Amino acid sequence: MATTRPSPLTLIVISLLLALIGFTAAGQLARADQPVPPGPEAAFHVPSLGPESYVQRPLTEAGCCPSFNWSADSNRVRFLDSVDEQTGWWSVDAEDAELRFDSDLVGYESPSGRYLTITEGTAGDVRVLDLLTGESNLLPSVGGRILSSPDESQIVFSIRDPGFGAPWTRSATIYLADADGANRRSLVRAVGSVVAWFPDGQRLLLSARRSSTIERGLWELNTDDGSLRLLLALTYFRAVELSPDGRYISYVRTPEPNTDLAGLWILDTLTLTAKKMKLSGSYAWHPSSRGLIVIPARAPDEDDHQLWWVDVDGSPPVPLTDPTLTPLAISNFEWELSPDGRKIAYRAARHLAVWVLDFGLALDFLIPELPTPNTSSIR
Amino acid sequence: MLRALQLNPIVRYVSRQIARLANGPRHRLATGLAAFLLLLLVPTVSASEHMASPPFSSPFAGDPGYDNWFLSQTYGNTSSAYRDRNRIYGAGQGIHFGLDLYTRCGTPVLSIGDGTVFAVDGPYGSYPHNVVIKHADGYFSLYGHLRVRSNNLLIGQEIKAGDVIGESGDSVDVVRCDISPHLHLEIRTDLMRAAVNPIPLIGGVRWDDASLGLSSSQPAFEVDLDAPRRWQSLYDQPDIRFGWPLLNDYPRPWPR
Repeated sequence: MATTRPSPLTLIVISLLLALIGFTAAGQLARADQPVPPGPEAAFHVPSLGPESYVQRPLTEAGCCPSFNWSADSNRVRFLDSVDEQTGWWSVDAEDAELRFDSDLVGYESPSGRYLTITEGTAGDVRVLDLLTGESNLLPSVGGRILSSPDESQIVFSIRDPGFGAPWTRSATIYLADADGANRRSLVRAVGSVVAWFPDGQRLLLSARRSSTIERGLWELNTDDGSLRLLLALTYFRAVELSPDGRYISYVRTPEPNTDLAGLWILDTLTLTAKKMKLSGSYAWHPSSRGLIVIPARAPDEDDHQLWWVDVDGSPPVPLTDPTLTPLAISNFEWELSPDGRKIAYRAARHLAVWVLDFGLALDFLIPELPTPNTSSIR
Repeated sequence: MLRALQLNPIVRYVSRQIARLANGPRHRLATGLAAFLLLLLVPTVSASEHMASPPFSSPFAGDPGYDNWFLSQTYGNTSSAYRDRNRIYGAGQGIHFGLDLYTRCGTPVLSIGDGTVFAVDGPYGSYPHNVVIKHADGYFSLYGHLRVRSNNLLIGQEIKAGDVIGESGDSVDVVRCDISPHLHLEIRTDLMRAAVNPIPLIGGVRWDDASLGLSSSQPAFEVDLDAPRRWQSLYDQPDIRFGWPLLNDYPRPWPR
């Protein structure tokens, strides 16, 4: 009996069709092994907070987007993207994921959003744009990021020495200038970086490594006279942050072989006493400065991350989410607390979309200094 | 890279069915063409497929932790490498072509797989000492900034996964070991002329957590504003070839 073989053209067409089917099926298989996130209306019980709840919802499509951050009013999540040839800052509403294009000006914003600094060329020139008046000033050779003082009257920036070593090993000169770049003066030379302005606008928190002129540790730099005050001498530390009220400095001691010392610490700048927290992880200061939102690394047998409240008073950490109820696998610890301290935006590990975890007023119960919320408004 | 192309199970099934249909000379030509079309259409292996059976293991004993080790700078289009794309990382197309794993000096460094010693203190930088192990399937693992390399390492010597090949050191201060204590780990291919992302190839490590959240800011990766979503995760990063042109000389980068 003669065998009928398909023609070459038929084979090619079949292969294309099968490949298309394969892609579609593979995509479905890939999606099937992901935990199904809750819908926008799903709410979860938070055991440690009593009857309060939180809402988890997706804000963007899979793969979107890097460099996200919160708007100042905590209502929108902004990110860099290019859609329909419009490139720049896009944002989504944290409630209904409504998408809009915000700006094609990509730069660093001052605290109020009035000033925008944009690097020009390759020589480290930075243009400071006053979004209120439309005026701009070019600051030649200021290098990288500029930090505005709390009242936005002054700026600080670092210029690293040229050299072939890794950037974090080279000395830098830290400069202070008026907001428009005038009246530039050097404050100090160090191997290190400026972490933040203290809220009084007269001091800077400096994280310094070893150099010929400055001991390694955390320093307070007076911008009036350039004097330095050592707050803490320490060799191995990372992830330094200043609390919003400027009283506390958080940092992580690592790589630290002594388990008793390794982990998250808080230094009280009033008493200069440091205390190790009972839980360590990726963290962010709550705007009240009463504590931190902490996300520890998962144990090998855990699929999902868990959020915790860690109080500066050293009391036992409080779990904010329940990993048995909440699918929360975060990509490379890409998350950010909203300015009002009530929402977490994060990038999901499995599909790289941006999601929001909205606590509403539930977190406010943990912080006695804040007014007690009206329980009738709690979700 | 063609080497990195692996077919997912469904496409493998499709390919087998096409091969079964074609068994004559004319049809072999058609099959070849069809297979070529399939290869063009099939994407490189996904991260999840890599994670299912990664060929290598961790270079350290134990999980990442504040008292052990952590991922300080990952492979790829990092903002740090971008800033030094014309100097330190220029030879690697502007990409950070390895993993920087921070740990205290003196931490035992383990071979990530079975193989043979290919080089000891070869011309691969990573001062003060480096060791290269040759593995199956054309892979090489390079361990850099070793303070101490095991004394008994000989070229051609067989190595098993987990064997100690040296002790971690510091890339800047080899005496005090207090500036930048870390292991620089690369996985190379093409007889050391190219490098690939080690993250999907090393199992037993939960890489999304390996940084312990110690990065000081977002983004970890440089953004090309003309293609903002490209190369923005631990797993989606380009292979590089040493000596080839920069991959990240972006006209509109962020941050700058």
